[in-house]
Amino acid sequence: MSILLSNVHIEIPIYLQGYDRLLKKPSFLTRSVGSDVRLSTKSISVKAINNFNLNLANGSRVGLLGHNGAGKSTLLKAIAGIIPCSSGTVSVQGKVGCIFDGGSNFSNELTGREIIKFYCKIYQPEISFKLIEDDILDFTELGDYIDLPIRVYSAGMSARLYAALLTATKNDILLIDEGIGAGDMAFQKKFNVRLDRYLKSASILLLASHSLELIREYCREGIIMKRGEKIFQGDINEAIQRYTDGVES
Amino acid sequence: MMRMIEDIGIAIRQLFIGPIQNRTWLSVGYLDVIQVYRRSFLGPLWVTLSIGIQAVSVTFIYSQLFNAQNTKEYYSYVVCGLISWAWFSALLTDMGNVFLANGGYIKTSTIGKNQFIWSMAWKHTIIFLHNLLLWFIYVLFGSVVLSYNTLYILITFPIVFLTSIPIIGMLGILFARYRDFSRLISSLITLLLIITPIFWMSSQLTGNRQLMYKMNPFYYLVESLRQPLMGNPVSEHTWLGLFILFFISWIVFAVFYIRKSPKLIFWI
Repeated sequence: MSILLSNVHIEIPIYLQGYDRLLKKPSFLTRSVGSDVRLSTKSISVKAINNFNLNLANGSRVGLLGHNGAGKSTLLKAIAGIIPCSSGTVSVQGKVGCIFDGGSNFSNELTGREIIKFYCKIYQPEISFKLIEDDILDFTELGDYIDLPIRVYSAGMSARLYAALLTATKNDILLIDEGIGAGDMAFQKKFNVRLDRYLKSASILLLASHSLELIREYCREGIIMKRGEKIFQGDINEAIQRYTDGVES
Repeated sequence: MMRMIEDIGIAIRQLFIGPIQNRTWLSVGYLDVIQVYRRSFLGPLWVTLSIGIQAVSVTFIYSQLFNAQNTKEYYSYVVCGLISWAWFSALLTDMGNVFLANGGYIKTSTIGKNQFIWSMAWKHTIIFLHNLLLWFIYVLFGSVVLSYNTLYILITFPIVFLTSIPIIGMLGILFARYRDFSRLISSLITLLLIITPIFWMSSQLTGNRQLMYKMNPFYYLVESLRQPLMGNPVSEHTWLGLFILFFISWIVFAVFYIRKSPKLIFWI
Protein backbone atom coordinates (compact mmCIF):
# COMPACT_ATOMS: atom_id res chain seq x y z
CA MET A 1 0.00 0.00 0.00
CA SER A 2 1.36 3.43 -0.88
CA ILE A 3 0.50 6.98 -1.88
CA LEU A 4 2.92 8.91 -4.04
CA LEU A 5 2.33 12.50 -5.14
CA SER A 6 4.89 14.17 -7.34
CA ASN A 7 4.87 17.91 -8.14
CA VAL A 8 1.10 18.04 -8.00
CA HIS A 9 -0.61 21.25 -9.05
CA ILE A 10 -4.38 21.62 -9.03
CA GLU A 11 -6.15 24.63 -10.42
CA ILE A 12 -9.89 24.76 -9.89
CA PRO A 13 -11.79 26.83 -12.45
CA ILE A 14 -14.43 29.05 -10.92
CA TYR A 15 -17.80 29.41 -12.56
CA LEU A 16 -19.47 32.47 -11.15
CA GLN A 17 -23.15 33.16 -10.97
CA GLY A 18 -24.04 33.84 -14.57
CA TYR A 19 -20.79 32.34 -15.86
CA ASP A 20 -22.52 29.04 -16.50
CA ARG A 21 -24.93 30.72 -18.86
CA LEU A 22 -23.80 30.32 -22.39
CA LEU A 23 -24.13 33.90 -23.53
CA LYS A 24 -23.04 35.77 -20.44
CA LYS A 25 -19.50 36.19 -19.15
CA PRO A 26 -18.55 37.60 -15.76
CA SER A 27 -17.21 41.13 -15.74
CA PHE A 28 -15.08 40.77 -12.64
CA LEU A 29 -14.37 38.47 -9.75
CA THR A 30 -13.57 39.29 -6.17
CA ARG A 31 -13.89 36.45 -3.74
CA SER A 32 -12.14 35.65 -0.47
CA VAL A 33 -10.74 32.14 -0.68
CA GLY A 34 -8.00 30.26 1.05
CA SER A 35 -5.76 29.87 -1.97
CA ASP A 36 -4.54 32.21 -4.68
CA VAL A 37 -7.03 33.26 -7.32
CA ARG A 38 -5.66 33.53 -10.82
CA LEU A 39 -7.40 35.99 -13.08
CA SER A 40 -6.88 36.06 -16.80
CA THR A 41 -8.87 37.38 -19.70
CA LYS A 42 -10.16 33.90 -20.49
CA SER A 43 -10.59 32.17 -17.15
CA ILE A 44 -10.67 32.48 -13.42
CA SER A 45 -9.19 29.76 -11.27
CA VAL A 46 -8.05 28.98 -7.77
CA LYS A 47 -4.63 27.49 -7.21
CA ALA A 48 -5.90 24.88 -4.77
CA ILE A 49 -2.75 22.74 -4.62
CA ASN A 50 0.68 24.06 -5.47
CA ASN A 51 3.73 21.85 -6.10
CA PHE A 52 2.76 19.18 -3.58
CA ASN A 53 4.95 16.14 -2.99
CA LEU A 54 4.05 13.26 -0.70
CA ASN A 55 5.28 9.73 -0.18
CA LEU A 56 3.34 7.55 2.25
CA ALA A 57 3.90 3.84 2.84
CA ASN A 58 2.30 1.17 5.03
CA GLY A 59 1.77 2.32 8.58
CA SER A 60 1.55 6.04 7.75
CA ARG A 61 -0.99 7.90 9.86
CA VAL A 62 -1.05 11.52 8.81
CA GLY A 63 -3.11 14.42 10.07
CA LEU A 64 -3.74 17.35 7.73
CA LEU A 65 -3.87 20.73 9.42
CA GLY A 66 -4.70 24.08 7.90
CA HIS A 67 -7.22 26.86 7.88
CA ASN A 68 -10.40 26.76 5.79
CA GLY A 69 -9.54 26.70 2.12
CA ALA A 70 -5.92 25.63 2.68
CA GLY A 71 -6.42 22.74 0.25
CA LYS A 72 -6.89 19.78 2.64
CA SER A 73 -10.12 18.52 1.07
CA THR A 74 -8.82 19.08 -2.47
CA LEU A 75 -5.68 17.10 -1.66
CA LEU A 76 -7.71 14.19 -0.26
CA LYS A 77 -10.02 14.22 -3.29
CA ALA A 78 -7.04 14.26 -5.65
CA ILE A 79 -5.63 11.19 -3.88
CA ALA A 80 -9.05 9.52 -4.14
CA GLY A 81 -9.07 10.27 -7.88
CA ILE A 82 -12.14 12.50 -7.65
CA ILE A 83 -10.36 15.74 -8.63
CA PRO A 84 -7.85 15.60 -11.52
CA CYS A 85 -4.40 17.17 -11.28
CA SER A 86 -3.57 20.09 -13.55
CA SER A 87 0.01 18.79 -13.59
CA GLY A 88 2.11 16.28 -11.69
CA THR A 89 1.27 12.68 -10.86
CA VAL A 90 -0.73 10.86 -8.22
CA SER A 91 -0.09 7.16 -7.73
CA VAL A 92 -2.12 5.15 -5.23
CA GLN A 93 -1.68 1.45 -4.52
CA GLY A 94 -4.43 -0.17 -2.42
CA LYS A 95 -8.17 -0.10 -1.91
CA VAL A 96 -9.23 3.44 -1.04
CA GLY A 97 -12.07 4.24 1.33
CA CYS A 98 -13.08 7.84 1.75
CA ILE A 99 -15.36 9.76 4.03
CA PHE A 100 -16.07 13.20 2.63
CA ASP A 101 -18.77 15.51 3.82
CA GLY A 102 -21.34 15.77 1.09
CA GLY A 103 -24.61 14.80 2.69
CA SER A 104 -26.54 11.66 1.95
CA ASN A 105 -27.46 10.61 -1.56
CA PHE A 106 -30.45 8.67 -0.27
CA SER A 107 -34.04 9.85 -0.06
CA ASN A 108 -35.58 10.24 3.40
CA GLU A 109 -38.40 8.02 2.14
CA LEU A 110 -36.17 4.95 2.20
CA THR A 111 -36.17 2.75 5.27
CA GLY A 112 -33.05 2.19 7.31
CA ARG A 113 -32.82 -1.37 6.00
CA GLU A 114 -33.11 -0.16 2.39
CA ILE A 115 -30.36 2.37 2.99
CA ILE A 116 -28.07 -0.36 4.34
CA LYS A 117 -28.89 -2.50 1.31
CA PHE A 118 -28.32 0.21 -1.29
CA TYR A 119 -25.28 1.59 0.51
CA CYS A 120 -23.66 -1.85 0.25
CA LYS A 121 -24.71 -2.41 -3.34
CA ILE A 122 -23.53 1.02 -4.50
CA TYR A 123 -20.50 1.78 -2.36
CA GLN A 124 -19.26 -1.70 -1.45
CA PRO A 125 -20.59 -4.04 -4.18
CA GLU A 126 -17.93 -6.65 -3.44
CA ILE A 127 -19.18 -7.16 0.14
CA SER A 128 -22.25 -9.19 1.06
CA PHE A 129 -25.16 -7.03 2.15
CA LYS A 130 -26.25 -9.66 4.69
CA LEU A 131 -22.88 -9.54 6.46
CA ILE A 132 -23.03 -5.76 6.88
CA GLU A 133 -26.75 -5.71 7.69
CA ASP A 134 -26.40 -7.90 10.78
CA ASP A 135 -23.43 -5.88 12.02
CA ILE A 136 -25.25 -2.57 11.60
CA LEU A 137 -28.53 -3.76 13.11
CA ASP A 138 -26.64 -4.99 16.12
CA PHE A 139 -24.50 -1.87 16.44
CA THR A 140 -27.08 0.88 15.88
CA GLU A 141 -29.72 -0.62 18.23
CA LEU A 142 -32.41 0.86 15.98
CA GLY A 143 -34.69 -2.15 16.50
CA ASP A 144 -37.98 -1.95 14.62
CA TYR A 145 -37.12 1.56 13.42
CA ILE A 146 -34.88 -0.07 10.83
CA ASP A 147 -37.98 -0.83 8.75
CA LEU A 148 -39.37 2.72 8.95
CA PRO A 149 -38.50 5.56 6.53
CA ILE A 150 -35.60 7.56 7.91
CA ARG A 151 -37.66 10.76 7.73
CA VAL A 152 -39.17 9.64 11.05
CA TYR A 153 -35.71 9.19 12.62
CA SER A 154 -34.31 11.76 15.01
CA ALA A 155 -31.04 13.44 13.96
CA GLY A 156 -29.21 11.17 16.40
CA MET A 157 -30.76 8.01 14.97
CA SER A 158 -29.78 9.00 11.42
CA ALA A 159 -26.28 9.82 12.64
CA ARG A 160 -26.03 6.35 14.22
CA LEU A 161 -27.07 4.67 10.99
CA TYR A 162 -24.69 6.62 8.74
CA ALA A 163 -21.79 6.44 11.20
CA ALA A 164 -22.26 2.66 11.38
CA LEU A 165 -22.41 2.38 7.58
CA LEU A 166 -19.31 4.48 7.03
CA THR A 167 -17.30 2.36 9.44
CA ALA A 168 -18.67 -1.02 8.35
CA THR A 169 -16.00 -2.00 5.86
CA LYS A 170 -12.25 -2.41 5.81
CA ASN A 171 -10.03 -0.42 3.45
CA ASP A 172 -6.29 -0.34 2.81
CA ILE A 173 -6.19 3.44 2.61
CA LEU A 174 -8.53 5.75 4.49
CA LEU A 175 -9.08 9.35 3.49
CA ILE A 176 -11.23 11.24 5.97
CA ASP A 177 -12.30 14.85 5.72
CA GLU A 178 -13.54 16.06 9.09
CA GLY A 179 -14.61 13.69 11.85
CA ILE A 180 -17.62 11.42 12.12
CA GLY A 181 -20.17 11.98 14.86
CA ALA A 182 -22.68 9.46 16.14
CA GLY A 183 -25.58 10.60 18.23
CA ASP A 184 -25.82 11.02 21.99
CA MET A 185 -23.03 10.82 24.59
CA ALA A 186 -23.78 7.23 25.62
CA PHE A 187 -23.71 6.01 22.02
CA GLN A 188 -20.65 8.12 21.20
CA LYS A 189 -18.60 6.01 23.64
CA LYS A 190 -19.73 2.83 21.91
CA PHE A 191 -19.01 4.40 18.55
CA ASN A 192 -15.52 5.50 19.59
CA VAL A 193 -14.57 1.86 20.10
CA ARG A 194 -15.83 1.06 16.60
CA LEU A 195 -14.14 4.12 15.09
CA ASP A 196 -10.89 3.19 16.79
CA ARG A 197 -11.02 -0.31 15.27
CA TYR A 198 -11.97 1.12 11.88
CA LEU A 199 -9.19 3.69 11.73
CA LYS A 200 -6.56 1.26 13.00
CA SER A 201 -7.56 -1.36 10.43
CA ALA A 202 -6.28 0.80 7.56
CA SER A 203 -2.67 0.56 6.46
CA ILE A 204 -2.55 4.25 5.58
CA LEU A 205 -4.65 6.96 7.20
CA LEU A 206 -4.97 10.55 6.03
CA LEU A 207 -7.20 12.57 8.29
CA ALA A 208 -8.13 16.21 7.75
CA SER A 209 -9.84 17.73 10.73
CA HIS A 210 -10.11 20.83 12.82
CA SER A 211 -10.35 18.57 15.87
CA LEU A 212 -6.77 18.56 17.15
CA GLU A 213 -7.78 15.97 19.74
CA LEU A 214 -8.88 13.52 17.04
CA ILE A 215 -5.75 14.12 14.98
CA ARG A 216 -3.45 13.73 17.98
CA GLU A 217 -5.14 10.45 18.93
CA TYR A 218 -4.95 8.72 15.55
CA CYS A 219 -2.02 10.32 13.71
CA ARG A 220 1.71 10.03 14.20
CA GLU A 221 2.67 12.57 11.57
CA GLY A 222 1.25 15.98 10.71
CA ILE A 223 1.21 18.12 7.59
CA ILE A 224 0.40 21.83 7.79
CA MET A 225 -1.04 23.30 4.62
CA LYS A 226 -1.36 26.94 3.68
CA ARG A 227 -2.63 28.30 0.38
CA GLY A 228 -2.36 24.87 -1.24
CA GLU A 229 1.24 24.34 -0.19
CA LYS A 230 2.84 22.08 2.37
CA ILE A 231 4.63 24.31 4.86
CA PHE A 232 5.49 21.62 7.40
CA GLN A 233 5.64 17.84 7.62
CA GLY A 234 6.84 16.06 10.73
CA ASP A 235 5.94 14.73 14.16
CA ILE A 236 2.25 15.22 14.99
CA ASN A 237 2.88 17.02 18.30
CA GLU A 238 5.28 19.47 16.66
CA ALA A 239 2.84 19.99 13.77
CA ILE A 240 -0.02 20.74 16.15
CA GLN A 241 2.20 23.10 18.16
CA ARG A 242 3.30 24.97 15.01
CA TYR A 243 -0.27 25.09 13.73
CA THR A 244 -1.72 26.46 16.99
CA ASP A 245 1.15 28.96 17.28
CA GLY A 246 0.40 30.11 13.76
CA VAL A 247 -3.32 30.42 14.44
CA GLU A 248 -2.77 32.39 17.66
CA SER A 249 -0.12 34.74 16.24
CA MET B 1 -5.67 10.14 -35.97
CA MET B 2 -3.58 7.96 -33.66
CA ARG B 3 -4.77 9.97 -30.66
CA MET B 4 -8.38 9.49 -31.74
CA ILE B 5 -7.88 5.71 -31.98
CA GLU B 6 -6.23 5.71 -28.53
CA ASP B 7 -9.14 7.76 -27.12
CA ILE B 8 -11.65 5.31 -28.57
CA GLY B 9 -9.76 2.42 -26.97
CA ILE B 10 -9.69 4.13 -23.56
CA ALA B 11 -13.34 5.13 -23.86
CA ILE B 12 -14.41 1.59 -24.74
CA ARG B 13 -12.52 0.24 -21.72
CA GLN B 14 -13.96 2.91 -19.41
CA LEU B 15 -17.48 3.14 -20.75
CA PHE B 16 -18.24 -0.28 -22.14
CA ILE B 17 -16.13 -2.96 -20.51
CA GLY B 18 -15.95 -1.18 -17.11
CA PRO B 19 -19.71 -1.08 -16.47
CA ILE B 20 -20.12 -4.66 -17.70
CA GLN B 21 -17.58 -5.83 -15.11
CA ASN B 22 -18.74 -3.53 -12.29
CA ARG B 23 -22.52 -3.37 -12.27
CA THR B 24 -23.08 -0.72 -9.60
CA TRP B 25 -25.26 1.06 -12.20
CA LEU B 26 -27.94 -1.60 -11.81
CA SER B 27 -28.41 -0.62 -8.15
CA VAL B 28 -28.17 3.14 -8.77
CA GLY B 29 -30.77 2.97 -11.56
CA TYR B 30 -33.12 0.78 -9.55
CA LEU B 31 -32.72 3.06 -6.52
CA ASP B 32 -33.58 6.08 -8.71
CA VAL B 33 -36.86 4.47 -9.74
CA ILE B 34 -37.69 3.58 -6.12
CA GLN B 35 -36.84 7.05 -4.82
CA VAL B 36 -38.78 8.90 -7.49
CA TYR B 37 -41.94 6.84 -7.05
CA ARG B 38 -41.85 6.16 -3.28
CA ARG B 39 -45.21 6.95 -1.66
CA SER B 40 -46.83 6.93 -5.08
CA PHE B 41 -49.60 4.35 -5.49
CA LEU B 42 -49.01 3.53 -9.16
CA GLY B 43 -45.32 4.45 -9.34
CA PRO B 44 -43.91 4.28 -12.88
CA LEU B 45 -47.29 2.95 -14.03
CA TRP B 46 -48.44 6.59 -14.04
CA VAL B 47 -46.31 7.00 -17.15
CA THR B 48 -47.90 3.86 -18.63
CA LEU B 49 -51.37 5.16 -17.84
CA SER B 50 -50.68 8.53 -19.44
CA ILE B 51 -49.35 6.83 -22.58
CA GLY B 52 -52.49 4.69 -22.65
CA ILE B 53 -54.78 7.72 -22.40
CA GLN B 54 -52.74 9.54 -25.05
CA ALA B 55 -52.86 6.49 -27.37
CA VAL B 56 -56.64 6.10 -27.06
CA SER B 57 -57.29 9.83 -27.57
CA VAL B 58 -54.94 10.14 -30.54
CA THR B 59 -56.19 7.04 -32.34
CA PHE B 60 -59.81 8.09 -31.80
CA ILE B 61 -59.30 11.48 -33.45
CA TYR B 62 -56.40 10.95 -35.85
CA SER B 63 -57.77 7.73 -37.37
CA GLN B 64 -60.55 9.88 -38.82
CA LEU B 65 -58.30 12.86 -39.63
CA PHE B 66 -55.89 10.61 -41.52
CA ASN B 67 -58.77 8.62 -42.94
CA ALA B 68 -57.15 5.39 -41.74
CA GLN B 69 -58.57 2.46 -43.70
CA ASN B 70 -57.36 -0.13 -41.24
CA THR B 71 -58.21 1.28 -37.81
CA LYS B 72 -56.82 -1.75 -35.96
CA GLU B 73 -53.43 -1.37 -37.62
CA TYR B 74 -53.43 2.35 -36.87
CA TYR B 75 -54.18 1.61 -33.19
CA SER B 76 -51.26 -0.77 -33.12
CA TYR B 77 -49.02 1.75 -34.92
CA VAL B 78 -49.79 4.58 -32.51
CA VAL B 79 -49.55 2.64 -29.24
CA CYS B 80 -46.29 0.90 -30.21
CA GLY B 81 -44.95 4.23 -31.48
CA LEU B 82 -45.86 6.01 -28.26
CA ILE B 83 -44.30 3.29 -26.10
CA SER B 84 -41.10 3.54 -28.16
CA TRP B 85 -41.17 7.33 -28.18
CA ALA B 86 -41.68 7.40 -24.40
CA TRP B 87 -38.25 5.77 -23.93
CA PHE B 88 -36.52 8.51 -25.96
CA SER B 89 -38.50 11.50 -24.72
CA ALA B 90 -38.06 10.50 -21.06
CA LEU B 91 -34.36 9.93 -21.64
CA LEU B 92 -33.97 13.24 -23.46
CA THR B 93 -35.68 15.06 -20.61
CA ASP B 94 -33.64 13.30 -17.95
CA MET B 95 -30.24 12.70 -19.51
CA GLY B 96 -28.96 16.23 -19.16
CA ASN B 97 -29.15 15.87 -15.39
CA VAL B 98 -27.23 12.60 -15.29
CA PHE B 99 -24.18 14.13 -13.63
CA LEU B 100 -25.92 17.01 -11.86
CA ALA B 101 -28.41 14.70 -10.15
CA ASN B 102 -25.64 12.31 -9.12
CA GLY B 103 -23.29 15.10 -8.05
CA GLY B 104 -23.42 13.86 -4.45
CA TYR B 105 -21.88 10.54 -5.47
CA ILE B 106 -19.43 12.04 -7.94
CA LYS B 107 -18.06 14.64 -5.53
CA THR B 108 -17.70 12.37 -2.52
CA SER B 109 -17.00 8.85 -3.73
CA THR B 110 -14.74 6.92 -6.03
CA ILE B 111 -17.64 5.51 -8.06
CA GLY B 112 -16.84 6.01 -11.75
CA LYS B 113 -18.84 8.58 -13.69
CA ASN B 114 -19.55 5.93 -16.32
CA GLN B 115 -21.73 4.11 -13.78
CA PHE B 116 -24.21 6.99 -13.71
CA ILE B 117 -24.52 7.07 -17.48
CA TRP B 118 -25.46 3.39 -17.48
CA SER B 119 -27.71 3.80 -14.44
CA MET B 120 -29.80 6.38 -16.27
CA ALA B 121 -30.27 4.09 -19.27
CA TRP B 122 -31.17 1.26 -16.86
CA LYS B 123 -33.65 3.44 -14.95
CA HIS B 124 -35.50 4.20 -18.18
CA THR B 125 -35.32 0.55 -19.20
CA ILE B 126 -37.21 -0.32 -16.01
CA ILE B 127 -39.82 2.31 -16.88
CA PHE B 128 -39.94 0.99 -20.48
CA LEU B 129 -40.67 -2.49 -19.11
CA HIS B 130 -43.58 -1.00 -17.15
CA ASN B 131 -44.85 0.60 -20.34
CA LEU B 132 -44.82 -2.78 -22.07
CA LEU B 133 -47.76 -3.66 -19.83
CA LEU B 134 -49.84 -1.42 -22.07
CA TRP B 135 -48.54 -3.32 -25.09
CA PHE B 136 -49.57 -6.60 -23.41
CA ILE B 137 -53.09 -5.23 -22.91
CA TYR B 138 -53.28 -4.38 -26.63
CA VAL B 139 -51.98 -7.88 -27.44
CA LEU B 140 -54.67 -9.44 -25.21
CA PHE B 141 -57.38 -7.43 -26.94
CA GLY B 142 -56.01 -8.40 -30.34
CA SER B 143 -55.12 -4.84 -31.39
CA VAL B 144 -51.46 -5.85 -31.64
CA VAL B 145 -50.61 -9.13 -33.32
CA LEU B 146 -47.68 -11.18 -32.08
CA SER B 147 -45.37 -12.95 -34.51
CA TYR B 148 -41.83 -14.30 -34.65
CA ASN B 149 -40.80 -10.79 -35.72
CA THR B 150 -41.65 -9.60 -32.21
CA LEU B 151 -38.48 -11.39 -31.08
CA TYR B 152 -36.44 -8.75 -32.96
CA ILE B 153 -37.04 -6.51 -29.94
CA LEU B 154 -34.53 -8.69 -28.08
CA ILE B 155 -31.89 -7.52 -30.56
CA THR B 156 -33.01 -3.97 -31.30
CA PHE B 157 -33.60 -2.90 -27.71
CA PRO B 158 -30.07 -3.77 -26.53
CA ILE B 159 -28.68 -1.84 -29.52
CA VAL B 160 -30.91 1.15 -28.69
CA PHE B 161 -29.83 0.85 -25.03
CA LEU B 162 -26.16 0.87 -26.00
CA THR B 163 -26.69 3.75 -28.44
CA SER B 164 -28.27 5.77 -25.65
CA ILE B 165 -25.10 5.47 -23.50
CA PRO B 166 -22.91 7.86 -25.54
CA ILE B 167 -25.83 10.25 -26.08
CA ILE B 168 -26.55 10.41 -22.33
CA GLY B 169 -22.86 10.95 -21.64
CA MET B 170 -22.42 13.74 -24.16
CA LEU B 171 -25.57 15.62 -23.20
CA GLY B 172 -24.80 15.09 -19.50
CA ILE B 173 -21.42 16.77 -19.91
CA LEU B 174 -22.84 19.59 -22.04
CA PHE B 175 -25.69 20.23 -19.60
CA ALA B 176 -23.32 20.27 -16.66
CA ARG B 177 -21.18 22.91 -18.36
CA TYR B 178 -23.90 24.96 -20.04
CA ARG B 179 -27.16 25.04 -18.13
CA ASP B 180 -28.94 26.64 -21.10
CA PHE B 181 -29.23 23.28 -22.82
CA SER B 182 -31.90 21.98 -20.43
CA ARG B 183 -34.28 24.68 -21.66
CA LEU B 184 -33.36 23.97 -25.25
CA ILE B 185 -34.09 20.25 -24.93
CA SER B 186 -37.52 20.71 -23.35
CA SER B 187 -38.50 22.89 -26.32
CA LEU B 188 -37.01 20.40 -28.78
CA ILE B 189 -38.98 17.42 -27.47
CA THR B 190 -42.30 18.84 -28.63
CA LEU B 191 -40.80 19.63 -32.02
CA LEU B 192 -39.31 16.13 -32.30
CA LEU B 193 -42.67 14.55 -31.47
CA ILE B 194 -44.24 16.49 -34.33
CA ILE B 195 -41.56 15.79 -36.94
CA THR B 196 -41.03 12.12 -36.02
CA PRO B 197 -43.57 9.65 -37.42
CA ILE B 198 -45.35 8.71 -34.21
CA PHE B 199 -48.96 9.62 -35.03
CA TRP B 200 -48.50 9.91 -38.79
CA MET B 201 -46.95 7.38 -41.13
CA SER B 202 -43.77 7.97 -43.07
CA SER B 203 -45.52 6.77 -46.24
CA GLN B 204 -47.85 9.79 -46.01
CA LEU B 205 -44.99 12.13 -46.91
CA THR B 206 -43.87 12.49 -50.50
CA GLY B 207 -41.10 14.32 -52.35
CA ASN B 208 -38.59 16.41 -50.44
CA ARG B 209 -40.73 16.27 -47.30
CA GLN B 210 -39.55 12.68 -46.86
CA LEU B 211 -36.26 14.15 -45.69
CA MET B 212 -38.11 15.15 -42.49
CA TYR B 213 -37.96 11.58 -41.32
CA LYS B 214 -35.11 10.20 -43.41
CA MET B 215 -32.68 12.68 -41.83
CA ASN B 216 -34.22 12.31 -38.39
CA PRO B 217 -32.26 9.87 -36.18
CA PHE B 218 -35.24 9.40 -33.90
CA TYR B 219 -37.18 7.88 -36.79
CA TYR B 220 -34.73 4.97 -36.97
CA LEU B 221 -34.60 4.61 -33.19
CA VAL B 222 -38.39 4.61 -32.83
CA GLU B 223 -38.87 2.29 -35.82
CA SER B 224 -36.38 -0.23 -34.44
CA LEU B 225 -38.57 -0.68 -31.38
CA ARG B 226 -41.99 -0.08 -32.90
CA GLN B 227 -41.86 -2.56 -35.79
CA PRO B 228 -41.00 -5.60 -33.62
CA LEU B 229 -43.64 -4.54 -31.06
CA MET B 230 -46.18 -4.47 -33.92
CA GLY B 231 -45.04 -7.94 -34.98
CA ASN B 232 -43.42 -6.61 -38.14
CA PRO B 233 -39.87 -7.22 -39.38
CA VAL B 234 -37.35 -4.43 -39.01
CA SER B 235 -36.68 -2.90 -42.42
CA GLU B 236 -33.20 -2.86 -43.93
CA HIS B 237 -32.96 0.92 -43.89
CA THR B 238 -33.91 0.95 -40.18
CA TRP B 239 -31.13 -1.56 -39.40
CA LEU B 240 -28.71 0.55 -41.41
CA GLY B 241 -29.78 3.77 -39.68
CA LEU B 242 -29.54 2.10 -36.27
CA PHE B 243 -26.03 0.78 -36.83
CA ILE B 244 -24.81 4.08 -38.29
CA LEU B 245 -26.18 5.90 -35.22
CA PHE B 246 -24.60 3.35 -32.90
CA PHE B 247 -21.12 3.65 -34.37
CA ILE B 248 -21.14 7.41 -34.94
CA SER B 249 -22.41 8.18 -31.44
CA TRP B 250 -19.78 5.92 -29.83
CA ILE B 251 -16.90 7.33 -31.89
CA VAL B 252 -17.89 10.97 -31.29
CA PHE B 253 -18.55 10.30 -27.62
CA ALA B 254 -15.27 8.48 -27.10
CA VAL B 255 -13.25 11.47 -28.28
CA PHE B 256 -15.51 13.95 -26.46
CA TYR B 257 -15.68 12.02 -23.17
CA ILE B 258 -11.97 11.38 -22.84
CA ARG B 259 -11.19 15.07 -23.32
CA LYS B 260 -14.00 16.63 -21.31
CA SER B 261 -14.92 14.22 -18.50
CA PRO B 262 -11.91 15.05 -16.24
CA LYS B 263 -13.27 18.62 -15.98
CA LEU B 264 -16.75 17.46 -15.09
CA ILE B 265 -16.10 17.58 -11.34
CA PHE B 266 -15.65 21.36 -11.62
CA TRP B 267 -18.95 21.83 -13.43
CA ILE B 268 -21.30 20.08 -11.01
